[in-house]
Amino acid sequence: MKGGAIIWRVASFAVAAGFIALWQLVANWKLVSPVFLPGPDRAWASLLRGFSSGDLWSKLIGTLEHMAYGWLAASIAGIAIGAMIGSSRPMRTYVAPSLEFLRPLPVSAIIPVAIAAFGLTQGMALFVIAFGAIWPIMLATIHGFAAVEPRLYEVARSLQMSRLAVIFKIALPSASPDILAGMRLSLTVALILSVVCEILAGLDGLGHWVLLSARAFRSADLFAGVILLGVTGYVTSVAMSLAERRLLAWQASQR
Amino acid sequence: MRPGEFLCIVGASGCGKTTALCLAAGLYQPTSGAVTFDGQPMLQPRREIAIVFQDYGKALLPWRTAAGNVSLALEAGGISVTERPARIDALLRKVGLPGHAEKYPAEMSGGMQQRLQIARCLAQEPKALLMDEPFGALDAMTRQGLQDEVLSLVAASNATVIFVTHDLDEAIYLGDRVVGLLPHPGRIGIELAVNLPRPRDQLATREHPEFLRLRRQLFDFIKATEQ
Amino acid sequence: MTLDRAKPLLLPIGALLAFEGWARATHLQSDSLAPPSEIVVALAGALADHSILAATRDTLFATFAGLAIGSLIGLALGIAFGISDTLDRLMEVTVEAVRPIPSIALLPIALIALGFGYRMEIVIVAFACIWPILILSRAAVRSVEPRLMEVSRALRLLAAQRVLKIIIPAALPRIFVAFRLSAGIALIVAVTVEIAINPLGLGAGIMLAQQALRPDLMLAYLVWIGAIGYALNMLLTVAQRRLFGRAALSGDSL
Repeated sequence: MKGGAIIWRVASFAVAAGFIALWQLVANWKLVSPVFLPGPDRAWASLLRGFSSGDLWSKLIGTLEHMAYGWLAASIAGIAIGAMIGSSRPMRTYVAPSLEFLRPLPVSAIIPVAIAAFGLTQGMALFVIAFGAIWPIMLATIHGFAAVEPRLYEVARSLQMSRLAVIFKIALPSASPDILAGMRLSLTVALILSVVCEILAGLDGLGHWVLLSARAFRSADLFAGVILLGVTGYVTSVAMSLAERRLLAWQASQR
Repeated sequence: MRPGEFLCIVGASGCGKTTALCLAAGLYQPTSGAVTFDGQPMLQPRREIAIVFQDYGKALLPWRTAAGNVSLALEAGGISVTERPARIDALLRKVGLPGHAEKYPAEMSGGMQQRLQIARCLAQEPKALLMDEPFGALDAMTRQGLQDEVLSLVAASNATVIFVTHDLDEAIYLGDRVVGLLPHPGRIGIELAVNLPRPRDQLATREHPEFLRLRRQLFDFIKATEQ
Repeated sequence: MTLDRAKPLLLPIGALLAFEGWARATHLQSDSLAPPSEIVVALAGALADHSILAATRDTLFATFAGLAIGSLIGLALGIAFGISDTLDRLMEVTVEAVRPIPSIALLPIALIALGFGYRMEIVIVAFACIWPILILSRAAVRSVEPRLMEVSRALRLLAAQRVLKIIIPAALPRIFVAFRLSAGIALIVAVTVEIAINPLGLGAGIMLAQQALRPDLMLAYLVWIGAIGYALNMLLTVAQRRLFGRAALSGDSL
């Protein structure tokens, strides 16, 4: 990073630290009741406590597991179904409009149906998370497959490439920027739905932790959990972006 | 066509030059008449017929390196993994791109990308090479260099070539035979045999009286069709 | 041409008919599924006794209130960050730190602070809406034709005048697209909060129907929620087209 950029970064961190200091002042002067707003010092203490006792750690793993299983299932299914639909024009004509119609609908509304079908179980959570996470991936895959440069298909025909080879060597790599972007969006959805399912079904995870903390008015633990959820969202998103950049290194040279 | 022949197709825009090439490639099917290769009707494209497209950028895989792009043709041809690196190396050297194996197409100039596409086509070990205005998007200097490269590559492999271009000079310079098309409907309007000595030379051949005579003939033909 | 327009409908209509047929044939007894005919009946009933309409009113109230508050804050910040490079860079770390917090995670905080009801839901919806509006309006302001900025400087406009007369009108089409996007997010978040914990609105309605073991009513709510979401998006798309014409729809890949 250039010298100027580093200075700005440091200044930006200083501003953020300033906000935290402000937060601490508000807590110290009890401008808001400590039952609702613990100071950053208490939240931090709770974080340390939670990790050293292993409680928060197991909750974090719980949420990450829910996210991971649902997201992986959604990725595999979403790419497979999206590839099928996206690579065939008749399927695109008949199926894609219905999917576009379903896109903006609140995915959480499927939760009661899932509860009715599976009860308040891990299975219900997996279904809900996978169902919610599949949409961005599937729609992105369809779009990616539909947008493959037609010239490349002619090259493939000229080389007499098999159907499978065309899908894996031409369509999939061509659609990969779209697919990876969709997978990144799905991560966010997976996190949100994990938290909701944990709150509803009392499953082991950060969502359950923050709910219990709220019920017991343990505001420091509550804030610690919320901060941890923010960190989880941030880290998973950054990890995904880094993976994207590595896999799409060839695109960088195109810009 | 005769085996080993270099045929050039010229004509005003929209008279069907590209369509003729696509028919020869097996990408389109004729509504009447037939396209045959080695006596067999062309129902679909074949690996022995390689196509060099004008929009080279779109015909190369942007996510593969130069070596990867050439490898695609070898993979499709069932060449074993162990044999590939040597062949890729030789092909890239043949088209004048040694040492560029690890570059992505986006990192290469237009002329280099077109050479890469030619390398990929040569990897198919084609009996016939179909080229659709391959140098149309390149500057004059690059174009002349590539013209000579194509001539030497073709001479070495003895492939049959159909070369579509709107550049009359290029057509006469490269070809054994030049066909001029008429539009609406697309049909052959003129056919010239090019009896110029090989190997061709950018300066000497273009000053040859026979070259100038053919040039005048073609020029008049095109002018007449544009009326 | 009419065949072309009918094609997208074939799959859904066919699926519904097949489902209806199968449910009837197997005499379906389930807590989670019901034949489309019964769903329609349940929906009609809920509309007739106004229960679903009252719930819709509640959800939409929270949605729009949260959307309005979140949009105002997001817009103000977005414009400020778009105009002032300094402010933008200074606030970068803070924004990047707060943004990834899922709005749902704030639910327990809002719960203990505000209890059940409209206020907590509105707060959460507002939080969720701030970010897309902030980011997109900031981008919109930055993409204002620099020539226009030069004109404003040449005319020696005051900062407030520049914002009102040049920046906002120029960035407005993209800001509206951001607004349309956020409206969808607002509805989703509102319904999610209701499903998770808040005993009001459509979310509560659908959960109650599930707990009462009435799959027909539950799925009726599901269909209705979908219809509301669709209608909202349609309405805003039409408004966008009317107000800004086809040119603005270029930002539509969202």
